[in-house]
Amino acid sequence: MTEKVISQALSACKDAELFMTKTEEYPVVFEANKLQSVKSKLLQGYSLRVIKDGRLGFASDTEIDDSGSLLEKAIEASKFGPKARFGFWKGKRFPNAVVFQPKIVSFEMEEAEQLGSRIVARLRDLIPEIYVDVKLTRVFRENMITTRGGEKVYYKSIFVLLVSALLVREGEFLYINESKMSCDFPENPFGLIGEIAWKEKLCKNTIEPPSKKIPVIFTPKVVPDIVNALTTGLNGRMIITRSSPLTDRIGEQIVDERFTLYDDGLMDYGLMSSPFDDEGVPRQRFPLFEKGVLKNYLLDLSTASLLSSESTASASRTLLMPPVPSASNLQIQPGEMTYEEMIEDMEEGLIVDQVIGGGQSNLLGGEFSMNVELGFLVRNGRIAGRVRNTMVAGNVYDLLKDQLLGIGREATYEDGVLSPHLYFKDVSVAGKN
Amino acid sequence: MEGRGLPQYNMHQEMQVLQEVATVKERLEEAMSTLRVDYMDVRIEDRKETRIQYLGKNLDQIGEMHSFGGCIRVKDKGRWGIVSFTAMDDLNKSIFLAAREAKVGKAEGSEMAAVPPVKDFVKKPLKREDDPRQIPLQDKEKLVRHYNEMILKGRRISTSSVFYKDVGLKKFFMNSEGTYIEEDRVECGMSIQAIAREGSNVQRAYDSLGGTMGFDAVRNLDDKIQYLTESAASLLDAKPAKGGKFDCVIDQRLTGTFIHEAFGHMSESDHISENEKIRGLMEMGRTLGAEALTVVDDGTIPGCSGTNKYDDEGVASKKNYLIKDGKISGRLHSRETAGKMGEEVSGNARALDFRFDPIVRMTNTYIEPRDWKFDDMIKRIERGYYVKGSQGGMTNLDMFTFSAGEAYEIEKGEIKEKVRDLTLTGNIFETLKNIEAIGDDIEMFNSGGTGGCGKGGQVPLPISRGGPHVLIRNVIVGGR
Repeated sequence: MTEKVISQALSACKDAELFMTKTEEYPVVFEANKLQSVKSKLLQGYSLRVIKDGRLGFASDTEIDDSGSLLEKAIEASKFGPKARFGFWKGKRFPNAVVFQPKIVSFEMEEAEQLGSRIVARLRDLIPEIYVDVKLTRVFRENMITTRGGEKVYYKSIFVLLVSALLVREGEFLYINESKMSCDFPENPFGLIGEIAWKEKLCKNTIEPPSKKIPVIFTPKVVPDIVNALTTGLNGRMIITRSSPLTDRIGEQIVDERFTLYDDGLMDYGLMSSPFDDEGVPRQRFPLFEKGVLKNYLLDLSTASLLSSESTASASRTLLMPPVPSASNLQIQPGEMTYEEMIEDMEEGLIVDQVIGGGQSNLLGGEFSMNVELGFLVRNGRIAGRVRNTMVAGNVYDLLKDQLLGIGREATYEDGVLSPHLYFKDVSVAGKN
Repeated sequence: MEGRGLPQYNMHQEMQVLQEVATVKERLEEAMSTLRVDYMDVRIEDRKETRIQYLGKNLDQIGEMHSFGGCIRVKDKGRWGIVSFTAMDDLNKSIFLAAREAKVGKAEGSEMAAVPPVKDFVKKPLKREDDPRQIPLQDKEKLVRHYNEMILKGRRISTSSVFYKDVGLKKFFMNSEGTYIEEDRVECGMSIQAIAREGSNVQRAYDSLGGTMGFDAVRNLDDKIQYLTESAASLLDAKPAKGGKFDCVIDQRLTGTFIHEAFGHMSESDHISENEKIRGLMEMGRTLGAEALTVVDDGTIPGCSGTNKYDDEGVASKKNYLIKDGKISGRLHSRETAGKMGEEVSGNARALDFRFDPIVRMTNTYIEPRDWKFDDMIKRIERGYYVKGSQGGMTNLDMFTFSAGEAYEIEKGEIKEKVRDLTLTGNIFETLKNIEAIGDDIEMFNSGGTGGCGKGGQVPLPISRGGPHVLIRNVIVGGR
């Protein structure tokens, strides 16, 4: 059917592209220590883009047939559509990306239930009053893109394990969240149990933090919330509209020279890895910041054409939506300091390990202002206890430019970002005092 | 029988689009008799969505998305199996898959609250000129372009984003207890953003609006656009807010976000029913807030985004008092959580679309007005902030944050300089008690466009929120 739809479209329009995605998702959900549900999602979507009379048209549907109705809608939209200054990607070649693990396919719902039950049971052995939520999700995806250049397909598996532990003590809630997500089966899914138990011990004391500027360590779990402000500014859509503070600044020293950030769409088993992006452009590894100098923006075909540049293979779509530029796997180059050295270095400082309210501030301007959901106050080089009712705020450009004290030696892959700990000198912290 | 008052409603005459209804009904009845499970339901949706977006001077997207899909739920001995699908060919497979899923793990056993079966057809009457399905694409594009051009003409404005979305939804729900509901629904909304920039100083003002009243919701917005554009421009001169503990007067919109985050999510019983510690903290009658505080979630308010005659389990919506005179007085329930806790159903099991199963959600949430005048509230503040507009909020039930669109310093009872980048935080057991004055000027705000509530990956769910101006003491403000 896809050949038929694309050949109809190509005969009626100057150029055409059909994108198909099929997703099977199998979540097994435990809530408050109990199995809550076993679910399946069997979803497919087809998106047709056409260029007719120099304008871009789009339509999408969960089903296609040979009636030509999808094409009709795409042509109708093209009458009002934006001027297309680009053609769809016709290249056939693409690099190899390691994104499929057969073990995930053969892992059945009954095994997922057993794994979840064991994680819950082990945590309850260690901390009897704990409430544990576990979500184990297996995802299989087939993406296909068809243009005048022919048809390209890839298959991908994803395994996501989310564990959230909750302790309620004297009206205080303590959440400790840990996760593992990649295209590979986790080597040691029980590893995060030790992590949760260790952090729970650090939370025996609650301390009020000072309201002033103090040194802050952001752990790899929180770095994605900080980096989010950067990728908003790097997004081609914010560059073509000249609204990003990074507009027209390629080649400029923007931040500290110790800061290097890459986008790697080919990282082995990376959550966002694939042989080609959602417009068929071969994925690559490329610098966004190299030694603090701005090197590239995140571009898809459309934004690249408006900037007279090349796509960075950053096009991303969800089920029925048109493509937009988006980061794939981000990698921050590790530095020299260990996490322990950072802690020892602080006379009075804060470790931020979980936040709520990330992304609600003026991201485009680089601002963040977040509640510290899980964080520890350090006094004289040692963790003194947990903080509550605490806000941490700043501007990511300012911090990375003037306040960087150190970058961690080891990187951890969290939420699509391979990152070490980041250690800053003066960050605004607000508490009750 | 409600709605049209016919003695027997014939679905084939009304819902031509969903020819699949008859097949699904037949299959489900077959499955019910052979699979021997305790309960089964199915929801089928046919959605037509039009999207138009201007980004700066360029039209960024225009197009139509059509989707068809369903969600099947099977419950057996307390365990749920749930399957979402898009291909009708997968219907049989999905029914059996859901039944298999419901056999995984050991049975824990819990009963859903009983509700009487309902047969109904729900359609909100809409004038032809207000039905977005009857309005040509070019007229919609023209309106979006008009608003966009207005923003771009504004002083110090560098760019804009104007996003329009309408949804024509036909859906039907049936369960193994004899409930059968069909619905024809229209949603229409916009998200508007003005961005002002001078060098690396980038400021934005944002609004999201719309609802179920049709295209009329997005007409005549010139004044709003003007205000938004000016607000973004003047934020360029505002200095960043200082962090610390302050007394704050929040406006109606932020009051809505505040109560949605500070208490709304906590009254969703899926967080409460299985956790005895939280159940203990949330006992009916416990004093949580000031005596003047009454909080309501009401899924029946005409024109509001969260309004539905029935939720996605076929339970009728109603007005639920969550806090009355400072004391916990009600909760939001699905049939499952109401059954577990032995309480009345509230009609709050909602699903974003066919890809998801219904979970406990708010509808239209607000703080009831009292008799304070805005000026008198400001006069009571020695040093603090007047905080306006909302860029969203978040909660983990215990702590919550909510971000302002803009704010002004208050000194000795007078509104002073404009400041920016204010995020407020609090925790449920302290902040509600710190509410000192509640105004007399309630307003409700609909989510629309890209706005709405997020929970368990289901975002943006249409909701409304609001209230009057409110004075809160000792709020922790994140700032620089």
